[in-house]
Amino acid sequence: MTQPTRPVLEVRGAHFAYGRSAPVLTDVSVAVTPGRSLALVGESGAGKTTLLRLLLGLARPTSGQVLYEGKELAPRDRARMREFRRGVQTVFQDPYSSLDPRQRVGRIVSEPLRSLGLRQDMAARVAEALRSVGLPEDAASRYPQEFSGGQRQRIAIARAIVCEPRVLLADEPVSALDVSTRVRVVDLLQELRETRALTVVMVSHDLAVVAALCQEVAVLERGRIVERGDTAQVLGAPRHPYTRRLIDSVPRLPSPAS
Amino acid sequence: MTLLTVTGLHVRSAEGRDLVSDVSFTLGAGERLGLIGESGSGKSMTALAIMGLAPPGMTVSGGVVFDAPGLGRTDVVTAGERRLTSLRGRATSTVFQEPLTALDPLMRVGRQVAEPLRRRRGLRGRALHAAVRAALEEVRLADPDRIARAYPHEISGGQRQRVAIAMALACDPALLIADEPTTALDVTVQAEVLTLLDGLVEERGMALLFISHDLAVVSRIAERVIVLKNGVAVESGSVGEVVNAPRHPYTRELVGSARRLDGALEWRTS
Repeated sequence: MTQPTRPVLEVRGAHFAYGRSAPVLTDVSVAVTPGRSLALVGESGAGKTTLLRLLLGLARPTSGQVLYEGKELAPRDRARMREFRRGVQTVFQDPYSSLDPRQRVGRIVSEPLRSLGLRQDMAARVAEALRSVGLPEDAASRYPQEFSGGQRQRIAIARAIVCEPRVLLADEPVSALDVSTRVRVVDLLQELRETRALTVVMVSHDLAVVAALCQEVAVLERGRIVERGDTAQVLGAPRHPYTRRLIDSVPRLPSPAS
Repeated sequence: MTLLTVTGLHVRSAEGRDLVSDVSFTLGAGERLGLIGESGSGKSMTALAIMGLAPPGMTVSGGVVFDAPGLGRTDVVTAGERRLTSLRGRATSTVFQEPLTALDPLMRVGRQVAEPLRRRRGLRGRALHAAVRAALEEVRLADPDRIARAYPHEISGGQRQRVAIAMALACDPALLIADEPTTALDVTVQAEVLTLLDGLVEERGMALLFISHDLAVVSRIAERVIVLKNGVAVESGSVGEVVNAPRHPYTRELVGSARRLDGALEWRTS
């Protein structure tokens, strides 16, 4: 038997509740295997974003563990947290609120480098990141509001990849975009996944985007994982009734034959 | 019978930018038309102009003529505010994208639904109460009495949109305008709300103008579509024609993008 690849990022038996209210997550375990992009699928209130916050180290589970490279996250261990921040970066849903309108794009994109103390060749790294997301070189000296929604999301992606992370956590990264822009950003994420050995962990309610980008899926319903596995398996032959309902609800284009 | 005739509709912003240019179409009683476009295509502005609700500073020209049974002929572009007020709710009524902003957060749901029923049908007391209950039942809200007592934040997004639909239907409009009515909803809730709208439009013989960026959603509910780009109608036809044989390059790109995402869901054939 071959040794299974160790997960780069993992949540084990996590429970989470805000104060004394009803639990948001109940006994959730997910493991991110390098090279196997993962989608966390579910509807509003399912706990997707909370789970993403645990994976990002922005919240701690009420019980259970979050592990990065096999070791539990320790918010007080600054050296390890720096290593974690370098390895795990994020892209948010709304490219209008996630970029500071008063900073030039170059400064926005270099932020992770500055906060991680990676000051060597900063300008070159920023230029390279902008190039890999398909933005022109002069983008660095301009302001976010000079760019369209799709371009802004590219800026956010450039910021996330500039320190060469292993994992990119993306919260609904294309749902605020128009369909043609959405397709192009999905293409970009797919390309980065391949050329940069980047593992994407994506929260999404859009099954088509999930199917295009992720090899694995975990379906969340009311704070529990009800089904998980290979995307083709889960979406092609769903076992849980909720997964089936989710798939059946996706509006489809009329087929050319009909 | 033609209910709405839009001819050469033009909306220009205060800065002189053309937001809608020369859009023309007709809508018969009971017909379902989809308006498709991406952000900035002018689809919502078209809807606002049809309702006579273009924001201040906008210049609207062209013709938007309603000929609703019992209400006479009205050109919305030239009509005065009083005339428009008497049309709203009866000739046309609207459901917007975000039910949370469409509903008053400080007013119980029942009172909000009661408002148009009281004003238009002159109902009071027990009769009004019964009408509110009936309106909430018609949009398939289980437990209408609880919903009527609740504030908007106490019910789910899908329930809020059903309430907004109930309010829009309260005065029996001849035309329902739905502007991205399911975009803010979860996919399973979207499916339910589309089924609901489909049934209501059918039962009441209403005309429907359905505005969306989502081709698949529009194809589910409309018969004909108009594709808008930068305020210009670049293509129109039946849903089947436009989705399966798009002629304009922009429509082709739009359909191509939608097909690619749709194709990612084809598991059984791959």
